[in-house]
Amino acid sequence: MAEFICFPALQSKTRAGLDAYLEDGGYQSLKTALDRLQPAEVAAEVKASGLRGRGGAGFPTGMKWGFLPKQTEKPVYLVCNADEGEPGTFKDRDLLRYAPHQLIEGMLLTCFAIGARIGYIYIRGEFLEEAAAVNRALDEARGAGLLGRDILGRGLDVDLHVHMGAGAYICGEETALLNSLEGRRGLPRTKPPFPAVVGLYGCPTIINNVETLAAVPPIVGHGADWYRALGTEKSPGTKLFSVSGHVERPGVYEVRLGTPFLQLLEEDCGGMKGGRRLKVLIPGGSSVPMLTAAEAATLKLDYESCLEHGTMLGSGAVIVLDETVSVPEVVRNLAHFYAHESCGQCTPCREGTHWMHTILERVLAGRGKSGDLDLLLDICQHVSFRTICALGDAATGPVKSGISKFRNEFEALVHA
Amino acid sequence: MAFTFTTEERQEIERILARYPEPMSATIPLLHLAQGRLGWVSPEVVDEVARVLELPRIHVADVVSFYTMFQRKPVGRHRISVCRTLSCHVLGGHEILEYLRTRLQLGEARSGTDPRGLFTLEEVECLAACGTGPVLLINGVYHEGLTVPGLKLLLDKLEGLDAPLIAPGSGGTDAAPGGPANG
Ligand SMILES: Cc1cc2nc3c(=O)[nH]c(=O)nc-3n(C[C@H](O)[C@H](O)[C@H](O)COP(=O)(O)O)c2cc1C
Ligand code: SF4
Ligand code: FES
Repeated sequence: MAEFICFPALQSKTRAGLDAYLEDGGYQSLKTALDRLQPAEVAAEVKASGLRGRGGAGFPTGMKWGFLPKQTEKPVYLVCNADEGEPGTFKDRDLLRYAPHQLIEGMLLTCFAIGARIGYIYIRGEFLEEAAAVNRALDEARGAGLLGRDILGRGLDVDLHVHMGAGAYICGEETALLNSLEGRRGLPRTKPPFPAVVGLYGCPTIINNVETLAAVPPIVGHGADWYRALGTEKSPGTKLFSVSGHVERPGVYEVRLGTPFLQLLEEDCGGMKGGRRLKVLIPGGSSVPMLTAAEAATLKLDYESCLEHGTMLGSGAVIVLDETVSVPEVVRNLAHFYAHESCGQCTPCREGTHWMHTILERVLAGRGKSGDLDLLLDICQHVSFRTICALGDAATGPVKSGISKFRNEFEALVHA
Repeated sequence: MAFTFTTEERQEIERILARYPEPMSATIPLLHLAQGRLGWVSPEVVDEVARVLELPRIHVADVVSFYTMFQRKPVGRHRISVCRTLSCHVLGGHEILEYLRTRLQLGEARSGTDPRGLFTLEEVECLAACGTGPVLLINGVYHEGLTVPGLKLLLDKLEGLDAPLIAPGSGGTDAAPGGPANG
C-alpha cells in the first residue's frame, strides 16, 4: 500500500497551513541545516541520497547542483518547475495545494546549498488555486521569519516568488521556462551551455521539479541512508505516481521505487475499472513508449525496470487503459497533443508532429493508404534526436510503440 | 478604446516589478493583469504593456500570440476550456465536448462562441488533473469528474446568472452555484 512517507500532507490533503506543518516537524530540517551544516554538506547529503529529478528526465539532483561554477561574480538562481503539463501528470498540483510549506522548506535548503538568494516558482497559468495556496504559504513563512532577510536569525537571506505561465506545455522544458520567465516566448534554447552555467538572465541557475525540491527536507532531516533504504540500489527513495485512466481509484500515490506495477494497480488503485482487462500501460507520461498488458505484468516501478521494458519512468504518470480503447485512437490523441505543443523552431519537430497527426487523422477516418504505417515510422526516424529539445523525440514514443505493438489494429484500419 | 492601467493596478505593477532584476520579466504578469479586467488582450492592452515596460510593441505582441491563455478576441460571458487529452478523453471527455458543441450551436466549428454571446468554448490540452477527468475550466475555475447531466445543470444555472468574468491571476472564487467539484 502507498504509505506517504516523504509527503505525509498528501494523505490528509487538508493540512496546508504553517501551524499544521510546524506541528508535524516542519522546518526542522532547515533549522538543523542552518545550525549544524555547511552548504556543501547539505549538497553532499542530497547527492548521497541518490535523489533523481522527478520532472521527467531523472537526472541525479546532487550531480546537477555540482555543475554550478565554483566561483562566480554573478547571482545564482533557483527555479522550481511547477509547469506540470506532461499528459497524465498531476502530482505537483497536489504538492502545491497540500504541501506548499514542504516545497518552500525544500527551496530554502536548496538555496542554502547552492548559494542562491532568489528563487522563482514557475506555476502553469491555469493553476490559480494552487498559486494562491503557495502565495498564502509564502506570506505565512515571511510573517514567521522563514523568508526574506536573516531567516530564523541565522543569517540566511532568501526570497521566493511565484511566476505564472500562460498556457504552453513547452514551457515545462527547462530552457523554454527560463525564456518564459524572462518575459519572452517559451522557445527552448540550444544546450550547451546548460542552465547551471548560463541560465536565468545569463546567470548560473538550478532548475528542479516541485517533487524533487519537496523531497529535500525529509532527506536532510532523516539522512541519505534512510532515504536510500526506501527504494532500490539504483532507484533510491520513493516517488509520486499520478494514476489516471481505467482504474477504480485514480489519484496520486507515493510508492517505494521498485514496487511492482501490479501492486500499485491492485492494492492502491483498487484494480481495473469495472473489472475489465488491462490493455495498454503508459508508465511515465504520454512521451514514453507504451507497454502491453503482458509487459506491464512484470514491470517494477523504478528507473531500471522501465528501461529493461523499453520504456521510461518519466514523470511517474501512470496511464492505465482497458480493452475498450482503440490504440490508433490513443496514438492519434497524443499526436494531436504534440502537433499542438511543438514550438515550431526546429523543422523536423514542427513538420514531423504535424504530419504524424495528419496521417493518423486520415488513417482513423478510413482514408489511410497502404504505406501510411511505414511512412509514420519513417517520420519518427527523421524527428528523433534531430531537434533542439526532447519534445520531438517524445512525440515519436507513442507512435512507434503503438504501431510496433498493436500493428494489426492499425492495419485493419488501413485495409478496411 | 484606449486601455490604461488604473491607480490600483499601477501599485500592483510596482510590486510585480520589484520581483525581477529585469522589467521584461513582467510581460506575462502584466498581460494577466490586463486580461483579468478586460477579459481579453486587446491591441490597446499590448500598447499599454509595451509603454509601461518600455519594450518594443512587437515584443509584447509576439508574447501574446505564443501563449494560449491570452485571448486575442473578446470572448463570451463565460469561457469554457475543455481538456481533450488522453486520460480525460477515455473517461468521456469527448462526450462533454459533443454536448457543448450542440448546446452552443457551433455547427461544424470545434470551438467558438454561441449566438447569444454567453459561452465561449475552447479545447485545451491536459490540465494536470487527469485523475479526476473529464476536466474543464469555467472562467478559469476547475470542474472535475464531470458528467453530461452535471454539466447541463451547471450551465443552466450560469445562464440565469449575470456573473462577471473571473479575473485570471485573482485566484477568484467560482461564480457558479454548485461550485467546483475539486478533489
Ligand atoms: C517538452 C518537455 C516538457 C517538460 N515538462 C516538464 C514539466 O512540466 N515539469 C517538470 O518538472 N519538468 C518538465 N520537463 C523536464 C525539464 O526540462 C527539466 O528536466 C526538469 O524540470 C528538471 O528538474 P528535475 O531534475 O528536478 O526533474 C520537460 C521537458 C521537456 C523536454
Ligand atoms: S523539438 Fe520541437 S518543441 Fe523542441 S525546440 Fe524544436 S520545435 Fe520546439
Ligand atoms: S488529460 Fe485531462 S487533465 Fe490531464
